[in-house]
Amino acid sequence: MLGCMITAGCDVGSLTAKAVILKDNKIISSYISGVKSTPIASSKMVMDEVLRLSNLALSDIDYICSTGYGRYDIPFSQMNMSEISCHGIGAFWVDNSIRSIIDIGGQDCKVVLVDEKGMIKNFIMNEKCAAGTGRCLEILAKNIGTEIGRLGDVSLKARKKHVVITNKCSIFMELEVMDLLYRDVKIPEIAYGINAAVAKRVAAMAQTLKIESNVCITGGVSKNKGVVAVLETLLKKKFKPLPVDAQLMGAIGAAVFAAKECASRSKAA
Amino acid sequence: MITLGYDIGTRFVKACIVKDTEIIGSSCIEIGDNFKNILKAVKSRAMKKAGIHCFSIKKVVSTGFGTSLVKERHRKLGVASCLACAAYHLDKDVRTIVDIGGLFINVINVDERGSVLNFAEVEKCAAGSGKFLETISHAIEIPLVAISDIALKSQNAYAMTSGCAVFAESEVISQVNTGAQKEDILAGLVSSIVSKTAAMIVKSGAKGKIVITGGVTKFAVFKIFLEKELNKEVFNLALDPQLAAAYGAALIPAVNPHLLKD
Repeated sequence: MLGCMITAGCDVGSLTAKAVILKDNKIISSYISGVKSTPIASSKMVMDEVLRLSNLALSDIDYICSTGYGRYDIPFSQMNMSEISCHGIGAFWVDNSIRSIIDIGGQDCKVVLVDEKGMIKNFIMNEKCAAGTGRCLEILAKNIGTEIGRLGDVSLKARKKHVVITNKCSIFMELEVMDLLYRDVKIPEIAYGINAAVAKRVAAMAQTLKIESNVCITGGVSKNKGVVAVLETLLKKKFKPLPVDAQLMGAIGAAVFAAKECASRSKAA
Repeated sequence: MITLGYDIGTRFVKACIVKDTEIIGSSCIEIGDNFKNILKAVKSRAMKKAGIHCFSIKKVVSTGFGTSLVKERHRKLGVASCLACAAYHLDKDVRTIVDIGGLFINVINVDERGSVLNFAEVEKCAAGSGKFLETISHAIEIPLVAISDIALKSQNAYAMTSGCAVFAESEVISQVNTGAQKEDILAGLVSSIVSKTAAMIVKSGAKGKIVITGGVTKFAVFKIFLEKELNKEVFNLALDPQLAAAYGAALIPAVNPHLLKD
């Protein structure tokens, strides 16, 4: 159904931008980069890069769909879809047994339930408070002098898992982390506490929906093994491993929507 | 009697040396990586200003968020008692003390003898704290000392849509990028702190004279906005507002020794 066409998805988030090109229902190139000053600049940069990687020109792409927080401003896209829909359809497209998706991004966190056709059944989202998002991890990682990308690995080195961060506000957590540093608590143990605190916030939100057992985790924070491990324990579920980079899920979903739209248009024509 | 009061705040560590209720030396240092050194430095600077030696200090009282980090022999007291003691000692008419510090807002009501009647503290979320002000002014590249002058120029305060201090930072950066005036953003920011504070004051049932203390009240704009919001005059104490809690801690052995009895 989705054959013989080239579509692209562009996901401009709060901290990173992603682009994916789909050809004949397969990913042929993808790219992730930190955001630039405006969503337009970010989208152009990642789009140019995926085109270069796949040796294509913008005119070769049949249809482009944008998503993410900056999705309304993308000049080259023909349609846009919400992040919720894109994460839902993207994860379902990658593995059609998936029914629940937990997405932890830079400035939001959401849980999406999909049906056996990949359509959204229900969702819940936090975009009001930084606790439970990548932003919170970024702030706290900086406090212990660790890069956000290494926070997961560092936390896995913790000998004891006794650090509990009780505050709910990222800035107050920062203070608690400083207090732990003053008390000479080891960095991996603090890193564990940080990851556990974020996982706890996400779990509290996820538990308000009925999560099914075929669940996966997407978004940048899904690369943090520490958060993932604690979240699996709290939810008493194992996340299904995905064959693609889970941070690309929004962009993949957008490209899938573009392909569907393109197919229905050519059918109509 | 010479006494030493520490106030271990969330952003600054303060020390105040008092001789017979008069401040003879004080210092204030920003919190940083090495807490032990900061604590040592804040004490030695205050002693140097007072021109005294360590053994002249008869009693040490500490207060504030990080009081448990003080290792020398001392007594601990809640910040409400210390602020009440300092404020009442300097002004017998005070009935409410409003303290806006690095992360916490405290509202303390006292009776006609200076005893604490009740107190309230914001402690769940950093929106509306000194740190909030600091983060945003840093993001829009306004030095802290210029906050008041710039905010007072605003004709049209910007209404912040983010309730979260972390998200507000990205919100103001994109506002500045799309042409919003910095004075309007600062005025909006101060208004949001002021309205949060005013709501706490009203809820606490404050009736009499109000004084403001804490580092944030060093900005004149704060007092002006708070008076407008409450439609009532508020007062400063005759000391550096950031030192109020440390001064109160140092005063307690002389003025309210019964608070130190177990």
